[in-house]
Amino acid sequence: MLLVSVIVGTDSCKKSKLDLESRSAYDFSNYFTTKETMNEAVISTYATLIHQGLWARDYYFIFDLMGFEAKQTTNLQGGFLQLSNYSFGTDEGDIANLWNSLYRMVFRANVVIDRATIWNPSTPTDQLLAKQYIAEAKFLRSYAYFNIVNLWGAAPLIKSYADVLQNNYMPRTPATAIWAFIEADLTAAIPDLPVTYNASTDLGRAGKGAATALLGKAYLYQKKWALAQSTLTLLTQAPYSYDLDPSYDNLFSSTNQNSVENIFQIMNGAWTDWSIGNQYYMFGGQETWGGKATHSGRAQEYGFKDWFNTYVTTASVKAFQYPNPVNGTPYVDPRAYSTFYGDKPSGGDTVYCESCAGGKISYPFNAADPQGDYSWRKYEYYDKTPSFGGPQSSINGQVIRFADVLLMIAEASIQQGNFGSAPLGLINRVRQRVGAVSYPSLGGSQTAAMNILMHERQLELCGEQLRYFDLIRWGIAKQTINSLKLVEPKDGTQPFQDKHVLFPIPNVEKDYNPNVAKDIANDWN
Amino acid sequence: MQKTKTLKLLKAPLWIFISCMMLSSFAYAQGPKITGVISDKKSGAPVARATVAVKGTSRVTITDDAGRYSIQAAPGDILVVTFTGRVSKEIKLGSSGEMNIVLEEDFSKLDEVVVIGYGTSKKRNVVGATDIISAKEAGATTSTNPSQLLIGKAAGVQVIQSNGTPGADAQIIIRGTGSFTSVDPLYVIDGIQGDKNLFNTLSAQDIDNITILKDASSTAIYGSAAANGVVIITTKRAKSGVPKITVSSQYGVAKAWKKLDLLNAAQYVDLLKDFAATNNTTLPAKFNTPAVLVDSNNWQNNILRTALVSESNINLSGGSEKVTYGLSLGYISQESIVEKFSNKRFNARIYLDEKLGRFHFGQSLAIRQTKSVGQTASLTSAIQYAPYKPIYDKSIPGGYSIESNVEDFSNAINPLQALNLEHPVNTDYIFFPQAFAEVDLIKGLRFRSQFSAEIGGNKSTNYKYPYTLSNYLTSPRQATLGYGSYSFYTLENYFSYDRRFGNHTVSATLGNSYIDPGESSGLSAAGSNLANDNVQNISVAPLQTVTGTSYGYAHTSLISYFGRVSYTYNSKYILTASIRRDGASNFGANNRFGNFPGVGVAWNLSDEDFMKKASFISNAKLRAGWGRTGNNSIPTTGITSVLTFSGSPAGNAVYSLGSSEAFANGTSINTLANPAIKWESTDQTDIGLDISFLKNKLYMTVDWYNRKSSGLLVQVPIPGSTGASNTGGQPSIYANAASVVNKGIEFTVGYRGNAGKFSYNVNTNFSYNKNKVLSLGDRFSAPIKAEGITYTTPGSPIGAFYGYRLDHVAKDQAEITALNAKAPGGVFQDGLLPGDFVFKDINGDGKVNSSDQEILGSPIPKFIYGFNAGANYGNFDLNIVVSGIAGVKVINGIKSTTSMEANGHNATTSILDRWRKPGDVAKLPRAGQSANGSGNLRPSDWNMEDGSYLRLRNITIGYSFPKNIVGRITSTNIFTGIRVYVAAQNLFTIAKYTGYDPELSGNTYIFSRGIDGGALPQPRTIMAGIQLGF
Repeated sequence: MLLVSVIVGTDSCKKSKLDLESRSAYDFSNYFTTKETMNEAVISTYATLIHQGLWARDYYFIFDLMGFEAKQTTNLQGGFLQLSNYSFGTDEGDIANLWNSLYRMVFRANVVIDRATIWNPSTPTDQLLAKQYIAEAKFLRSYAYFNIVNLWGAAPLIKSYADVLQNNYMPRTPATAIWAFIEADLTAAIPDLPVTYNASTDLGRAGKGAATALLGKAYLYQKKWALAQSTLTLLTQAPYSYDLDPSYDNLFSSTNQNSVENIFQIMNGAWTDWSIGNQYYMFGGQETWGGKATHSGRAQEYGFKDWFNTYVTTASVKAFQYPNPVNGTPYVDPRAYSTFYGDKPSGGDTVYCESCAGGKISYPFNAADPQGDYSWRKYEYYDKTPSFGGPQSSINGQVIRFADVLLMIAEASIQQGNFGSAPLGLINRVRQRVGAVSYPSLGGSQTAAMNILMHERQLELCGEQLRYFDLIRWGIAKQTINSLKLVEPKDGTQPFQDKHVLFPIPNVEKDYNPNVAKDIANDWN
Repeated sequence: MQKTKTLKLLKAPLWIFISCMMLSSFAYAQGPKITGVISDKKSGAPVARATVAVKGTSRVTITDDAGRYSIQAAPGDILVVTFTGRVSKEIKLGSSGEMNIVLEEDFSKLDEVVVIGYGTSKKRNVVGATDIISAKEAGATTSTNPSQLLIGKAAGVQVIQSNGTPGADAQIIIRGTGSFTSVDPLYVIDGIQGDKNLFNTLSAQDIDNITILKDASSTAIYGSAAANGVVIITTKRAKSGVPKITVSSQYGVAKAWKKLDLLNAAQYVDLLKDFAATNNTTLPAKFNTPAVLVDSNNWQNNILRTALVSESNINLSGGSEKVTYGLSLGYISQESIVEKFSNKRFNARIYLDEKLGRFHFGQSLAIRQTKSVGQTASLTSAIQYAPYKPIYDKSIPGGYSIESNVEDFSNAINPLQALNLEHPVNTDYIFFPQAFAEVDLIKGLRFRSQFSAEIGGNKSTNYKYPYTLSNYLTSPRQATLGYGSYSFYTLENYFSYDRRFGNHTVSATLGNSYIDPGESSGLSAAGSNLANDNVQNISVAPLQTVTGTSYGYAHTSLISYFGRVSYTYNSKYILTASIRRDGASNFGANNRFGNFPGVGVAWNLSDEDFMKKASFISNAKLRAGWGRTGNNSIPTTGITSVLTFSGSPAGNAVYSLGSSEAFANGTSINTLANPAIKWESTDQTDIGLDISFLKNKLYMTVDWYNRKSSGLLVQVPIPGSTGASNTGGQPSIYANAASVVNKGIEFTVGYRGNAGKFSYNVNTNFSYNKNKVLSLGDRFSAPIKAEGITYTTPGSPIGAFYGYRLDHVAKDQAEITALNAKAPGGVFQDGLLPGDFVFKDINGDGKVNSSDQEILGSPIPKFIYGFNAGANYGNFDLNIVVSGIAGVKVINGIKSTTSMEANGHNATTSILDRWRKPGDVAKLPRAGQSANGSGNLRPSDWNMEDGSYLRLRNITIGYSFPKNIVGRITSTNIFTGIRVYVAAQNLFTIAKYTGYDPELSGNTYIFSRGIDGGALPQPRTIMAGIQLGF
């Protein structure tokens, strides 16, 4: 035994025994060298769209509540409740998750760009793919920064993978530089992106139209009206074939991925079985304990027969009731029916389970509910089933759809002093799709036209997480939300303070990034 | 003059040398003879094989079985009598003839052999700060795990039981927290490196003694592994002779020693009403019915139980002069003090020892199997669940009542639900074979080769009945199965040389060591869509999915070379120097090897002539040492380079694409690399004094140490903006980020004595440690924050608590208006409402904002102390162990449940003292108001408490039946001894802490220590046992 030990001992003292390579993962430096593995890097960047704080769950809560289109039922507790009544602090977890996930999207996009640049494929097809992958990554990176700059203003701007390696503690960059970076990224991405993808395998990826729409939107948010108008108008022309979906309801159904109106969506796939994915993956199990899952929690979370965490605010419900643009008589917008369940006067849908085996059921509107018993219909599928029993919805979230683009073009032209037939036509085109009465005119002044435009956006895009952004960029968030909450049943507060026009820099950044921490005023932003 | 003195000195040890070689064969006789009997003072029995020598001559003899000796000596000669364990005696002969000599017990233990790194040494010659704990004195009979032996026994050694869950291990911290990644010392078992896992593999019954090496001059020989000290375990070895069998068995009960007062139903409903009012919501309809006012259950009582504990051991040992053998078997069964977990452990150890001429071989195999069944109920859930709720509800799938926000305004979890509807079973096993071979090459030179391996594995199964949990979430019928296994080995070879040349003793060690990375792997699967509950495992599941796979290394691979030289002059002056060179796979090629030197000196000053006059001093030794040790406890791969991430398990990172929204696989990365990472090193200086008085009955040890660790390996949280993390996780990076110093003083005093039938020993130890971060390096100049409340920054202790200081609860709006009026900018504290906490304006600028935070306290105890005592009176024996810590703070994390209402849940009666209406002078804020991290729940001293405690760890009273009674009971003389005892653990605890138990290890993550998140408290256990010898 002694001899054996000595021999083994000598043999084992080779230096190579100290060079251990992972047995459970590939080495980053030589993995992303084929179109398949590069594609995986791109997919993983898309996957961040459903990470915490984003679209699998939190994103719609955050912005529906803060834009005051949704309000808390007694079921809503914790962080969302605090967002709902604007009592959240700098430690608010959903905001922290949103921040971290948006920067994770940036990080993964930077990895794609870094690797695809090194890849250097030999075939022309692959060379085109390399460009496309970089362009997709740039689109996603822009989408992340678009959210970051609107919500936080000045923020760390990480331009490349190398940037992160060099400095883990990026200081804040002024908002203007972030906007410039977004514009540059999208401008660079547009030529390299295809107009359409293979519908059976690649539908859902960002195409040329998505990048163009986001660029136009970026111009609009910066009040670069002319650029916004010209860029967004491209989407109404060849090579694009976007159009309004003839069915408004189809946009919020489980087949909405195939709508002609899509420009960019979040691809939520149906949950099927526990052995594949965890129904509750959106509570933080993405890519880990959640198994394979991409579904949306929205239907379950908002659904009045399920978790029923939010009502539609009475303020929103009332917005659907306005004087008929033609004759001034009381009018209820037809989109009320598609947006919420309620009583007959509200215009909301009063029955559900239209295509259930047992036939349709009346919505149990509780007239005595002091909060106003209006609940979400948009993005629900109670027409098919009396209750969901768990999160499993495949209804995609909308990021940019064609109706939004049309209204943005209208807005850009109104802001340039054109409140004539061109913007009127765009607004009426959106209205005609749902059978709403057309406006005869935009009221003869820029202010009147903007008021119509703003109201139209509120109705068309209710519950699509855009109103919060609109109110902030229009500069009317504080007055609007405080005045609406003041008269909202069982509310009566005016919680929106000046600081709320920006999100707080979350503690998860402030605590670990001294360069950001020293730059924050009033502990907020 | 000089020359003659040297000669004399050289001559002195000659007789010892000869006595060793010649023993009783030395028999030539000339001149006058002296004869007599050597006897033992305590027992009066003759002492056989004692050595009798004539000082200054080469004449030596040993006593026979009757204690009789005979030696040639003249009047005026000095007889020197020595015997192991007895005080040596020198007697000047007055006349020839008869001289009987009585030997007294030697309490000094200076000749005791101490196990040190790669060898042994006499205690007299040890230069370092060491503590030796004999298992017998430590109350091994009642310890259910080996770490319990160390509680309260050694100065500067803190033992923290992780929690009260049966089978949970303990954290042993030696001389404060020096490293950020690990506080675990190195465990060396019978001379071979092991780890905490192996240490816990051993049964306390198998341990003979434990030596703790605290200073770096003695630990440096272990190099990289020894930064947190070394715990050397010597297991019991067989003695040659007739087989010895001992059997012991003990049974007991364990209970919680503290309960909190929960609100009754009426008080709870009142609390929810307040909460709803604060949040402008209305309570569900049921709150208008009397049903909610019924006190159905005290959930704390429902989950707490009297747990049964039992332990049995059998030991068998024996052998011939050439071969000895031993076998020990142990079985422990423990229940948790809350429903519904139990842990069973089976230990076995077989060992053999062979001596064959100049060869010596040894083999041992330790086996442990543990099986844990069920899960523990959550104390936090028991506090939170509504008191009006029944346990069962037939209308809910699964049969247990639930809460939902819709009906109950709370989604607290029924604490009895999951543990009755899910049946996890975990089985672990470890094989721990060890073998060595030694050969004496030439005189004094020995070669030893030793091998050990760790082979472990586990199997886990779970069966979940389908049920609906709080908020009507569904948990489907599911069966899971998982396997894991790992193995690696350690191989060490070394030469040791030990020789005396006159007054000079030289010993040296030279060797190498290799730890193979081995491998580890695991697989887990889940089965769903099972038809019914008749067969409760995965094999019948129609849908089976792999839910996890892992493949990796079991250990960091390490190649080491080490050497040590020791020189002793005349047993007075001792010098030891060692060096170790370690190469580890954790680091990049340029930083792979680290050098770890150590040097120590000692001076047995009581052997000096000038000290001889001070006869009340029996022994005195001054020690000083310095050494450097290292740390590489970071993951084996993925630190110096970046690995891909495609979900965990791989393949889970997906996004849906295509019109059918099918999964597409994604791969990216989620870490940042640090190619420059290198060894962490700790330099420690130690100065100590061992002194004993009154014939060694009273002894004292004082040590001062200064332990500076630099280049500390840290997994530092980095900003979220880097993006390098998983969803929901904070990015982090491994780096050599900081330096920290631990300075302290350790003091031990003990007394051993006897008076007739009464013999006793008492020992008290006390240590003071100051932990201070010196710097956070260049890269990480930002304070390291974790858990929202700990803060690590230069000048304060690691993981110190940091935040605001609470002042009071705002009484009314008038008070706030007055505060605002004085504040610059008109706002004293942002968002402050009546009934909110008002915090202190620490910097005095007239308002409260983030600059009003400061270090609030430290989770690292300043003082650790222990007291243990043993006594024998006739056949009775008593053992007491008391231990405690002081100068420490803990965060009572469950206070945000017991005393705060951020959402709907039950609480303790402390919350009755909350603000309810303007004008209230209350201790706690308004229910549901500003209950967030920038409001009332911001990090503050509100939930920081004094974590000091003093605990009676163990008290055992035993009775050994006298031999004659044993004989009478069993006429066949089958028993050689019978002892019965009763023991109590954690009989009382003195603490100010308002939570369940201040003894917290908290998270193992170094920056989140001392935070109580609702851990199971240490139980109070009463046991009775019997030990039988055959």
